[in-house]
Amino acid sequence: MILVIVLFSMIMIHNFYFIQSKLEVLSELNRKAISKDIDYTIHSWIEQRINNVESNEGYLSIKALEGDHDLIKKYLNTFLNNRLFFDTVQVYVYDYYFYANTKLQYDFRKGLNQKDFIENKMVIKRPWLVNTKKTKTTTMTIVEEHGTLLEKTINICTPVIRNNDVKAILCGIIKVNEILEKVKKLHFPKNAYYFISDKKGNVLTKISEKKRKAIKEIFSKNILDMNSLDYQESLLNKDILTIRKFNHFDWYIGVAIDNSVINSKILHKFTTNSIILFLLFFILIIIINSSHEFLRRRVEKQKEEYEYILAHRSRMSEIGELISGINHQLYQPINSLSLLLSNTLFLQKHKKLDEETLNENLIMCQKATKLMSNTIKIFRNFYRCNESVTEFSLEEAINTVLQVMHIDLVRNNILIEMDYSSKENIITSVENFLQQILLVLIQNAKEALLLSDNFDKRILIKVNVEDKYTYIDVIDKADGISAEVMPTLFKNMKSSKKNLGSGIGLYFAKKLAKEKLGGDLILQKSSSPTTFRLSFLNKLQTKEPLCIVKP
Amino acid sequence: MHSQTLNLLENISVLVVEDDELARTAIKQGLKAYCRSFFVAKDGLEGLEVFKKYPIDIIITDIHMPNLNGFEMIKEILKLKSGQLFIVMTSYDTDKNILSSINEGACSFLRKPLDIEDLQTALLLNSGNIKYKKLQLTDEVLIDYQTEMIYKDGEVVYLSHKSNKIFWMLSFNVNKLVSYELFEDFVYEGEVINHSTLHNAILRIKKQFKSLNIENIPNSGYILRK
Repeated sequence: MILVIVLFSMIMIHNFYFIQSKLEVLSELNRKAISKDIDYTIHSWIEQRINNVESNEGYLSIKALEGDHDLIKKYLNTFLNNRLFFDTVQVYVYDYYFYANTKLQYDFRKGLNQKDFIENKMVIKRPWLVNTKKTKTTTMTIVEEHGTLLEKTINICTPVIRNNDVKAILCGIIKVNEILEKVKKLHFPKNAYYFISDKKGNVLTKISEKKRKAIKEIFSKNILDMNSLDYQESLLNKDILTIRKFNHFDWYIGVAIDNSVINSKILHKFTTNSIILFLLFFILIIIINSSHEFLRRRVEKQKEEYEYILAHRSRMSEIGELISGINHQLYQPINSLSLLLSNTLFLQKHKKLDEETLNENLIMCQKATKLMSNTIKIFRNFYRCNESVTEFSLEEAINTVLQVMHIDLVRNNILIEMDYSSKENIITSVENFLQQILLVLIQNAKEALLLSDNFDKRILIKVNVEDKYTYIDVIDKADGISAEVMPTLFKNMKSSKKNLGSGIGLYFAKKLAKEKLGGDLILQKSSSPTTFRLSFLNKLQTKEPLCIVKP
Repeated sequence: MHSQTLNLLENISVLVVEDDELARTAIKQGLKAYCRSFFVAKDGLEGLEVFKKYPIDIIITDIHMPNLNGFEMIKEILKLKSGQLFIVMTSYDTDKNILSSINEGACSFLRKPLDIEDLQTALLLNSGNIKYKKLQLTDEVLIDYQTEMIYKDGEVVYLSHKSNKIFWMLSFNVNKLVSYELFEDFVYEGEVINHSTLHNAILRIKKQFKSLNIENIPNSGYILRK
């Protein structure tokens, strides 16, 4: 039982670690999927806008690039309002003007030095302008504070090239918050969180101060390859973090999953599951146990009933057999009486009755009646089932059994030989039980002899009274007990009694000897001469043993 | 029953085999006075011994007795004298079935408890059934079964003890084979004998009664043919 429980818990622990490792793999995959998802969303969103800027660049007419205010205003209005991709648009036309938010900001022809504007340190640096012109490709630049929108923006700028000359820079402006809003709409698992940071580790999204610092630290430690587009892993306050660089600009997306949440979740699930399992297991054990107990009791009860019936049956058969004995034992003196009386009458009728004969006959009649009453007394005592412990003469007790069985034995030509060598004769025990056991043993020997071809039809009864126990051996020279019968010799479930007579009797004889007389009944010798040995206490202490068959 | 009727028993010889002493005594009182000879035995074994020693016409026997019971005794006696009459006293119904299975008609049954008159009546009825009282074996030889006397041309002849027994063994079983074993059992008291010893004894009998037809069946025994 304990072994089963230990085994059970070991399996549970193993399962726990197995599940945990599986879940770790799963959560890693999950993190990658989330960051990819965010990346993809933002990327495609930005891609769309880049395309929009690049395609719109082609619509800028030469006239508009050469100082036509109306034309450029019209163009910018169309560009901004056509698709609503951008929060605002701006165009910088070299040597002419700078339009932002569809309004003219600067007109370089009216005095403001173009170089000053570009490098104006007092206002803002304009890297978007510089980079785009330098690379002659579309660039994305983060502007800390946009001149007109007055917040952090991303400028998607493309050069307007005419005749191999960069004539202007066209920009679509998107508020950074806009992107973050977009990301927010993505669905996340509860225990996962994300952030977007720039390459210095400044987090742009909302996050707790503690994590913000931790992220900054990760970036400052230089453990990440800042230019790789691969997923990179790190630890953030024990949470596992997956970081990836955005495709188009120097932002990083990080997705972290709270390990403690995972673990506690697993643990929680695991504990509830295992508690339920254990409870079920326990209930199962209880059910099995109780049903086992229930069945055992039923079997026991049935066994008791069966035993009672058997006891009754064995007794009935014993009684039946002996009633025929009684019958005959009574017929004998009745027959004598009948003969004597009829004879006396006959003699008197023929006047041949002398006084001496009459006297003789009357005395013989008396003898016959005494014999009758004696017979009845013996049988009555034998079947009264007096179960009290008394002092009695062992020899007389045995003789009574022999008397009871006399007719039965004589009828079958069986001779009883007594070997009573002990001086001790008075013992304290239950006479009736002792006699019943002897009866069974003698009956048994008798039946064995009847089945045997041996002509030596004698039963030897050897009595040996020792200090504490008395031993009575019942010996016959019949064919012995076969090996097949041996194991079930004293068992009640014996089906075939052909080889041995009343098996039921032997079962109860052993039971009586063990339980009521403080001794035992064993098969001393199985082959000829077959010897059964009954042992019992000389001085039985028990008060009032129970009679197995209630009168 | 009249005394005169009972006087009809005066020619018969009776053996009573009964293990109960009181019953035995009572039967003796009621029968002995009327019979030619009367014997008692306390069990089958004793009964068999008495039967071997004396000529018995009718055997009254109990069934349940120690040593040799009535049933076994009857079997033994019938081997020696196939025509022996029995009256069986029993208190068991089933015994009749057992006995009738081995023997037809040789037994009559009396149910215990008995009146002495039942026994007397049974004896009288059975005395009429005694198979041969006297038998003319040949023109020369007449035998009286009841007294076991042999007459040769009207004169009583006495044989030696063993010859007498052999003669009666053969006479009890006229036209039936008497085996060597039975001779050994009955005549020589169980002793194993040389076949020539028996043959010589038979020859002596033949010498005395020349007309007797005693045939030897090799390896089996002898038959007295009439």
